[in-house]
Formats: sequence, C-alpha cells, structure tokens
Amino acid sequence: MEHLNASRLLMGDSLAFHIIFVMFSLTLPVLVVWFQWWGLHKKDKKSVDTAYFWSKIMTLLVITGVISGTVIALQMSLVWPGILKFGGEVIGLPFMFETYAFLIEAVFLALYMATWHNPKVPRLLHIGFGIMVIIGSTLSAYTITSINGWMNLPTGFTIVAGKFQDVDVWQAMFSRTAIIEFLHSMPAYYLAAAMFIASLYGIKILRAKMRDRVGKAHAFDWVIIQRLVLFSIASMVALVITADITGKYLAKYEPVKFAAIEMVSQTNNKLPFVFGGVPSADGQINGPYFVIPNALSILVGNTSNTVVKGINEYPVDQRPPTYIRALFNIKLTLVGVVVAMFALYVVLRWLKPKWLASGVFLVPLVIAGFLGIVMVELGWMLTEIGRQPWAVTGYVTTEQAVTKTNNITSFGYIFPAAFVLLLAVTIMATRKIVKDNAAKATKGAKK
Amino acid sequence: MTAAVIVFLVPVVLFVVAFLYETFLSFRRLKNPKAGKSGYLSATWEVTHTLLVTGVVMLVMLFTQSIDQLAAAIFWATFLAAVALGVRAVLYIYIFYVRSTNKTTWIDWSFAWTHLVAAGLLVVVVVRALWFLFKNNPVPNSQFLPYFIPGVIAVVLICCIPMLVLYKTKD
Repeated sequence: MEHLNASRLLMGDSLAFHIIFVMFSLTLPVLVVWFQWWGLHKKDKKSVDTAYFWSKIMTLLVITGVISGTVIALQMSLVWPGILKFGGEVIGLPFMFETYAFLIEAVFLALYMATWHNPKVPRLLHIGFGIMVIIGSTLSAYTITSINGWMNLPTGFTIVAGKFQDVDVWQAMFSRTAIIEFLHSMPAYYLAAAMFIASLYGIKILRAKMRDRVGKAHAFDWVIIQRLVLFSIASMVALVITADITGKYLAKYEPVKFAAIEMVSQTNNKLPFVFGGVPSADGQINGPYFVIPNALSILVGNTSNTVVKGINEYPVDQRPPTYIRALFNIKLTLVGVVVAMFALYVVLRWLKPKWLASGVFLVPLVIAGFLGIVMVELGWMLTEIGRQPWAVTGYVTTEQAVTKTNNITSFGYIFPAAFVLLLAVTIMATRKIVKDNAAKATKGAKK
Repeated sequence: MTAAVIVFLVPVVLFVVAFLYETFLSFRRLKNPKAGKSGYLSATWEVTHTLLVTGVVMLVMLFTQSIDQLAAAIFWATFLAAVALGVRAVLYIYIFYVRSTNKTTWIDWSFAWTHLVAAGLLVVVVVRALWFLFKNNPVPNSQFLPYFIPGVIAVVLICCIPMLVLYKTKD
C-alpha cells in the first residue's frame, strides 16, 4: 500500500476503534453517578447495584481506551510530525493540559472503585469522586477536540515573513471551532452509549419468554431502559440544536467542507436542501433524491436570500473527496431512523406499554440502539475526510504532514490486528462481568 | 534546554519506578497464581500509563521544531513499545477479567515478559531521545511552561488530598 494511504488508514482505524471507548468513558461515569445518586436519594438499592455493576465495566473500558488513546497520542507525533512542527508552539497547550485531565480521571477512577464498599468514606464523598471522573474525562475530551478544532480552522497566531507572531495559545485552545465541535460531539457520545446500553437490556428482555418479559423479573430492566431512553432523548435534543449551530458555522467558516457535504456546486442564494443523491463529475446529482426548496439557505442564514458558497470557488485539488456526501446521506438516514424509533417508543410507552415487550417492536428498537455508534463514527469521518487534502486547513496538507523518514506500511497491518484482538478480549471480559453479576443476582434472590 | 529536559524526564522517571514495580509483581505472581487480582495492581494501572503519556507529550510538545528528526530517531522503538504495551493490555484483560483458572500458564509468562520487552524498548526510546537532544541542542517551546508548571502543582494537589483522606479512612 502507498505510504500516505497506509498512514491515513492506520490513523483512521485507530481513531474509529478508540472513539468507541471514548463514548463509553465519557457516558458511563455520568450514568453511574446518576444511578448511584438516585439510588441513595430514593433509597433504591437496585439503582445503586446497577451503578456498581456498570462501574466495573466502566473501569474495563477505560483500560482499553487508555491503550488505544496512548497509541493515538504516539501516532499524532510520530506518523504526522508535520502537524506539530507547524503548529506545536500554538496548539501545544491542550496537549499538555490533556495529561492533567487524564491524571484527574485516572486517579479519581481508582479512588472511586477502591472506595465503593468502604464504610468510612461518606457516600456523598464517594459520589464526589465519581463527579471528578466525569470532570477529568470531559476535560480530556475538550482538550483533544480543541486540537482537532484548531486543525479544522487554525487560530491564535499571525504569520509574518514565514514566522509566527502574536501567538495566543488560549485563543487556539478556546476557539469557536473547538467549542462548537465539543458541544456537538458530547451529546452524540451520550446518545450513542446510552442507546447501546438500553439495547443490551432490550436483548436481555428479548431472551426471556413473552409472559416473563413484563413480569417482576424484568421490571427493573424496564426502569433502566426508560431512564436511558429519557437520557438519550435529552441528548438528541441537544444534538439537533448543536447540529444547527454546526451547520451555520461550517457554511461560514469551513465553506468548502459544507459545500462538499451539502452538494453546493455553485455559489448562490435560495438553495434547496437536497436529501439523497451523490454528485457526479459534471456537477449533476446521481441516484434517488428529493429537494426542499430554499431550505438550505434558510438553515444557513434564517432567510432564503442567504448566499451559500459553492464548491466551484475552490481549486479541484483543494476539495474534499465527493464520497463524503454519501457518508452524510447515511448519517442523515440513521438520524431519521433513530428519531422515528424514539417516537415509536414514546407512543407505545404512553398508549400500549405491553406491546413494547413483543418482538415486533422490541427487535427494531434494539437494532436502532446500535445505530448511535455508527452515527458518531460517521460524524468524525465527515469532519476528518471533509478537511482533506489538509491536515491543518490552509497551511499543511496531509501529504506534507506525514512522516518522510519511516515506512508506516507494516504498522498499518499490525495495529488493526491488535485492535481487533483488544476488542475481542474486551467483549469477552464484559460478558464475564455480566455473567458474574447475573449469577450474583440469582444467588441473592434465592437467599 | 535543561529545564525542558527535566520536565520530560520527571514523568518518565516516575513511570519507570511504577513500571518496574509492576514488572516485579508480574513475575512474582507466577509463583503464586492463586492470589488472582490481588497479586497484581488494578486501579493504579492506569495512573502509571498517565505518566508515560505525560512523558511522551512533554517530549514532543517541547521540541516541536525538531519533531520530524526526533520522531525519526525514536520511531521504531516507540512503535514496538506501543505494540508490547498493547499485547500486555490484551493479556491483562484476559488474565484478570476473562480467565477462571488460577494455574500459571504460558499466558502468565507472556504477560510478565511483555513488561520486560516494553521496558527495554522504552529505555531505548529515552536514550535515543536524550542522545538526539544533547547532540542537536534544539530550541524548546518554553512558552508553555509558565502555564504548565503551576497546573502540575494544582493537579497534584487535587489528586493528593482525596488520596490522603482515603489513606486516613482505609479499612
């Protein structure tokens, strides 16, 4: 495989793998603390037990995430030295601060797990440790997202005679791009992870006989699903609001990415929103699609007279690959499916709650629960592929950024294999925790 | 330059101490496999990794102007160390989370040896990095240090206070 593409593939599959664990590392602490607090507040032992059970899985997933995160940290500097050589003195601070966040997360996770059953540690203090895990993981997510935001739209410096001047490391770290990306990605992680966990409980219920699915044995499983769906719906609302902000931002500050995603071939106003279709070489639309007149201009600037920049304004070699439109179509379709499933759940829950237990409704709901992860993966693919051919927009191309002195091809095979192995063993370990927990619960019930 | 090297070396030295202890435990548990999870570290495991990541981040962020040459100097050893750490993680999860048996097998031996391999490769990384720095004397990005060093003190305090509370209230 060609060197540049091997490096892209290596980074791509490392990120795709790592992001799965990021979702859970960010969401599980929130859910665990929420369930523990709820359980203590309402004197509900089952909620506390669920929090403890999830916290064991959380620790396992954090361990896996640490390994994949370490590999990515190494890749950023060793495979793509051109990015840091260009911008290290501007964007180095979030890299350094990420280590603080990481340390806070690691230390407090250790404390949180070590003091679960320590009677001398007040429960509120224990919850406080959990909150610090949330703070550490969220700060970590912000710092890394801010680096990505800076790569998408570099700020915090001026270049005079080929040298940086007026370097403002805080502006680089707290750029508009970083804040918008962060606010959009966080609810996406919450949504994906919560839906996934709800689906696992759905599978647990599906494995029981029909008459037992609505019985006492699964009553608390339904409570968990109900809470997770509420959490997911709240995340979805935040996601839709931040998606609108992101769209407006992209049209203004990253117009070539926006034009490629939305298939805007010519700069114009009164542009329609096109759902479906992919662009052809001659600027036409291939495949099935439908249009909503003026909608794109209205979405971008709240009026149909808003002018949106077309891809024609950019040289061909500075445009992202056209297939990102296909990725966007898939993502939009998945969003539609997930919203429809939420609506179905809410309606059934309200009018015919027993119908939810039937395979006809529960199977599609469970399948939809896994789509959140695909949506997050597609979102990051749009961000990264949409920036191509640039590694740092306007300054460093991906080709310039990649290492020139080392051949990455062999690692392009080793690391994906290692990730598959790590994923397999993590799934096995999670299954073991789940089985042990079920066995413990059965034993407790018999007593 | 000296200050920058110290900032890079401090987390590395702390990591080495912690990692050597883990290596010792990984070999000691071969004699006493019945100890299970208590024969090795659990919660502190990730904290050790934090030190490694801090060391790497310090190295590359302080010397971004020479990062392409620096990356070339440490490339193979670092990547192989990452592979060794990855294998160690897989074995760790398998031994302490998946497996039910308490017998010492080739997996436990492999787990112990990955410590040594990773440690050896990381020593090569540090030596090669130091050699590069002293040979080429690159200019460090010292503008981050005024923000970073007070931050370290604050974070260490944030992390130490609850640890002291925990120590005082331990069972």
